[in-house]
Amino acid sequence: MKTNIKRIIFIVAALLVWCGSFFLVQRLLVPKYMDDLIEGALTAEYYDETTEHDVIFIGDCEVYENFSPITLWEEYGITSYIRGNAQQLIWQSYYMLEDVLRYEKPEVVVFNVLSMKYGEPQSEEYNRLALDGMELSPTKIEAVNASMTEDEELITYIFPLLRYHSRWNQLSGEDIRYMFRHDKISHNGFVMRADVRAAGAIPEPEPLADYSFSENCWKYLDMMTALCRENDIELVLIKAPSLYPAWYDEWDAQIVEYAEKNGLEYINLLDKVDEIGIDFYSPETADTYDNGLHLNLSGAEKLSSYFGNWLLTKFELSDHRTDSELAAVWQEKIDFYYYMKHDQLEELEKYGELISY
Amino acid sequence: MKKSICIILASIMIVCLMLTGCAQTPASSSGSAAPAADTTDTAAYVFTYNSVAIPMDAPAAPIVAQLGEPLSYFESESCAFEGIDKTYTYQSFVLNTYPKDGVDYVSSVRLTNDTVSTAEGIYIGSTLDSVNAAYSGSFTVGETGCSFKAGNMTLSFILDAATGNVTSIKYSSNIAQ
Repeated sequence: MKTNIKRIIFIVAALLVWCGSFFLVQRLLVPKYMDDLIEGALTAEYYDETTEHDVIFIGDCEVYENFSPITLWEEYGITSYIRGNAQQLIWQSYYMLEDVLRYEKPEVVVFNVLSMKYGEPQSEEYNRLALDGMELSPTKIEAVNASMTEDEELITYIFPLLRYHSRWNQLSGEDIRYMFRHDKISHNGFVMRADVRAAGAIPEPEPLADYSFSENCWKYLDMMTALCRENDIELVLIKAPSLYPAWYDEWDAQIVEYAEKNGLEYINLLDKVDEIGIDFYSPETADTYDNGLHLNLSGAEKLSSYFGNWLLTKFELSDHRTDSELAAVWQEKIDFYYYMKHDQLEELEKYGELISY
Repeated sequence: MKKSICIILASIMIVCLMLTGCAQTPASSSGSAAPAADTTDTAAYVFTYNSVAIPMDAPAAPIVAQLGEPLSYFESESCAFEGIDKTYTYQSFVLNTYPKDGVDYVSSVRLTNDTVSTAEGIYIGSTLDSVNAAYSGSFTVGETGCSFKAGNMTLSFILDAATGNVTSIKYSSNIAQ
């Protein structure tokens, strides 16, 4: 009897030690996305939020680089968060929305439609940036299943050590420093870039054999529409004002038709560039930091100012600035925003380019 | 007790060795899980301009140097990963490159007017029949296009819906996609 108890204690202890070791090694070896490739930290950062949001943006880099939730708060008292990732595909956006609904129910969801151009999973690297940071849940499992490329395996998203085990020879100080913590890198999902690089000659859009969006994309857009409807959320479709890659008229027409058919708002912000006041071309003061692909800080603030006003004309959103508890939470965000803005401008002044961002 | 601890430590070591022993490359912050651009494919179709051959996945620098000054040049950074996709626009074609390990490789060439043609004699304005005659084999034919995969590249033709004539010709790397 005594021997049996000892044996059980030994097995339990062995299991605990094994699991603990596995966890520690996994924490050490997974990429931290802090010093480099910070986009990989965006998904996880959402879970640090302590208050709810009126508006949730979902989509690719055209949302997390182009909209500033801080401006929406400062000018209109709108609380918002961007759940965007680099090349976030439409099924990932759908599951990001499902993930949001585990925690809160926004008034409005804004989806950027550029990712309708991708009908199939594209690359493991981008999948990892978007999904590694997602909390484990049935939604994550479904997101991974929808996203995996041919050689990927679901189990490696549940136990990332199985994917990253051979990183042991690439470990750096970053892996130790951020083993059990992370720094804040975004402003409610907005990635700030204060530098300027004006757009030049944008290549002519190349003709396509077929301009139809894939069945898979329509399926997920339908699912997104249905999910919003079930939860009494207004879904807004947008095309962000990025000059490249091309957004074809044929694509636009399909979205216009879909929005009309489903009673959704759709705004192509490329058509509003002059109205918003975005300048893509002035060498020193352009509102883009990379040739017109994404907006820089001044561009994002202009766009957010315009879009916040547009939202208020379409929906009844409350101005929360008089809510003292919420205002205190947002003041911290504002402080961090202006700290980073100041820091980036100082770096630009000193080095002529951003060094730490 | 000592025996138990030894067994636990041994099992941890075995697991660690199993995990680290595998040579699979991780999708790490270096983004190194992408396939390597190694050699150009000798079986592939190749566009040649003024005696300069432009195979897919070939290092771009010597080709660009031989082609001379482009009409325009555009570069687009990746949304997250390091490296820049470059677009060189010439009088009659557009050449795109992709970066890999600090080197730019040819990702596509698109012919933009009828002053140039493929090595098999197809140009913008050619008929579908002449395409079929020039490229026998496993075409993928859609309503407005056809393409042919050869090794690690694809040669695609877009056809005018009304006339059936070629309106665009593109060589593209399957590795770069």
